[in-house]
Amino acid sequence: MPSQEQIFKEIFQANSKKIYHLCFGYTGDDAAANDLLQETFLKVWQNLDKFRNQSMISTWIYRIAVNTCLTYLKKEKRQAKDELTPNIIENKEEDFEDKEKQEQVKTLYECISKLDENERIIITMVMDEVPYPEIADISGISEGNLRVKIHRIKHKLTELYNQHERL
Amino acid sequence: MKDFDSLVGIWNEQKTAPQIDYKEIINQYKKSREKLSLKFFQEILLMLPAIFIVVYLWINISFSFWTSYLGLSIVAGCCFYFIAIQLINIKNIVNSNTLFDKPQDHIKFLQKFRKSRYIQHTRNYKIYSIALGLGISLYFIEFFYSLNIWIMLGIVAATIAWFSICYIYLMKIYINKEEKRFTEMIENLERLNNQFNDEV
Repeated sequence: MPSQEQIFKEIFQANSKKIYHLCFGYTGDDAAANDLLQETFLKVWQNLDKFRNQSMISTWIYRIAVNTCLTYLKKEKRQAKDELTPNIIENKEEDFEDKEKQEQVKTLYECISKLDENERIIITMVMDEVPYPEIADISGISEGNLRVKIHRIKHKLTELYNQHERL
Repeated sequence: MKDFDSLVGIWNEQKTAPQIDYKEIINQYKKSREKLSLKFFQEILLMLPAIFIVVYLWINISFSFWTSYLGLSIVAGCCFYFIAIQLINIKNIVNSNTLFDKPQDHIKFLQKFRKSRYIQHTRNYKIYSIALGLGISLYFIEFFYSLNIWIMLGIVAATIAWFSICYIYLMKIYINKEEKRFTEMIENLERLNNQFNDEV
């Protein structure tokens, strides 16, 4: 039987990247995203026994992450920053094409940071290909309404991105 | 011009990754538990000298007036109230598991929790100060008959001055600050709550 630590390791490896994207999209700040990720998985570790019986672990982890993000904003009075931290572009020796791609990623995060809080949360999940019923379950919004919301957010984000590119 | 699918393509190209691993989280959990125990201990330790003085006076001095005992009891009650409320707060924060709830419910919990904290920090603190003042006043009655009148008047004047500074000046600043923070917090929570309303 796998140990607690082994189970946690597997859960962390399977979910941490997506949760990090959610936190980064929400805060627009790398350090804050890491803090939120840590806080989320601390709660997961603390409640590992409850998680064992859950079929959709990722839904629960996402929900903790969303609530942690909402609390974090209140606690630290953080606002999403327009300027993203430079380490989003990781490797200085990357080729030009790669640098350009990472520049586009940076612009995309900047545009996400201009959305409302719930929009940031929903759209990062959409882009990470979380199924719509799961997003509805996480956010507590009915699937029908969620589809309408997602349609609007997609339109808003695309507009923001294209505006940014035109500048 | 890019469409949403192109943005998803950009999103999938990202190299952003978390800079912590699972072992760090387990270690952090152990540390935070230790920190919490220390906080519990500190809260109790802060009030221990006051409780010790009250117990010492009760045992070692034979008071002739019942008001002295009543005064000491009220002061002791205030000390216990202070400790109890701090410990209950810490316990509530630790045991709150609304992080698993839907965002709307979690926000509602936060609103309720902030409200109760606000009441504690403002109205209950007023009651606490009045009770403490009453306890000390009752305790002083006996000393009017045994101490030199000028010394006694000096002690009473100093106590009144201290309470006035606390109540009129310090507490007003504190309550205003709390009120400002509270209003801001509630407004932000309301805004978030509206965002997560299941309406289009």
